[in-house]
Amino acid sequence: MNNRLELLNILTSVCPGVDFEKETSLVDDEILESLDLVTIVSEMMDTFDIELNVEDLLPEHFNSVDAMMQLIEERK
Amino acid sequence: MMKKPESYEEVSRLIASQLKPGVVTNAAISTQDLLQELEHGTLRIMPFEGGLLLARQRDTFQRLWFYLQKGACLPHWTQELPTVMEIPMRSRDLGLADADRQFQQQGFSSCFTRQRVTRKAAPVEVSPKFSVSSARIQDFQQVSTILETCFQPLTACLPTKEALEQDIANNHVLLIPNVGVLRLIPGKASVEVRQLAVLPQARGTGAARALMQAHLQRWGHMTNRIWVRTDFESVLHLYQSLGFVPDGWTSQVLFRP
Repeated sequence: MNNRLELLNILTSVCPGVDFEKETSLVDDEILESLDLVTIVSEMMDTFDIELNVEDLLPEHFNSVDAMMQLIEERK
Repeated sequence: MMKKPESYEEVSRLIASQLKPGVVTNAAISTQDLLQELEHGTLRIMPFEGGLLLARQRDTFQRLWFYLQKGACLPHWTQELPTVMEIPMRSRDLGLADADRQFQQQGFSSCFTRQRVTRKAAPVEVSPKFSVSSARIQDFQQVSTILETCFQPLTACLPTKEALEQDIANNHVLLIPNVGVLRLIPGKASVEVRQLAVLPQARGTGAARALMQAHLQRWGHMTNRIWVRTDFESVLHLYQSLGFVPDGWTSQVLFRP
């Protein structure tokens, strides 16, 4: 499965019913709540074998699928 | 036993180590919050097998945050101060419901439950019965007294003196003199009404509605959110009449003396 599909699987399991491909302000628009971010980050670290920390929990890293993919690629 | 962390790096490292699949937490703490608590010497930590506890100490009590790994068990621990904590969750957050049970098994009791109600952007009708204005710095003592009269410091997330002064300076506190106060926390996409306080002798006069209407007149173009105790029926009725509806989030407030 490609990385983007795996990421989408994570996101839809955390927050069902959201069109993640369309949204570009997931955190700023509070579609993703702060506690969801902890779950998403944990799953991302495990799925993609990357290291993330508290400083990475910034809205700009999680506002869109593209932003999250960029974070994943940077940390691989 | 909880201890004072050596540095921000130690805390950051401990939190990062908790970020594993299945972890549950009530910790929506920002880096800024952590740095502030470290600077004031009020942060305490306790890593354990399968999790992490963090506490923010205040004069007579502390607030507790936790990370708990899937399948992990809370250890017994002694505390320096009476401890309050809050666990916000939705019905699907089964891991958090389990954490709630574990904390209650460790001697925490439920004080009450809050639910979050949300109002989408919409205009508001105002029926001015009271004169509501933004509090000024000269009103600090009055605002502070009203908040302390109406709320328990242990469970109400009351602001520090510095935070309240800043809120007043930013026009985030509404006041009806000698009657009531509304304090708000604006975010990027929504605004939270953090406290709505009306002195006991003024309740039932429409003061709370006047404060809310004045607030929504300014901030009603955004989504508004309020956490309200589920046993505060009259306040809940007020919010519902202004267009607020439950959005699925509830929160258990727990306390261990």
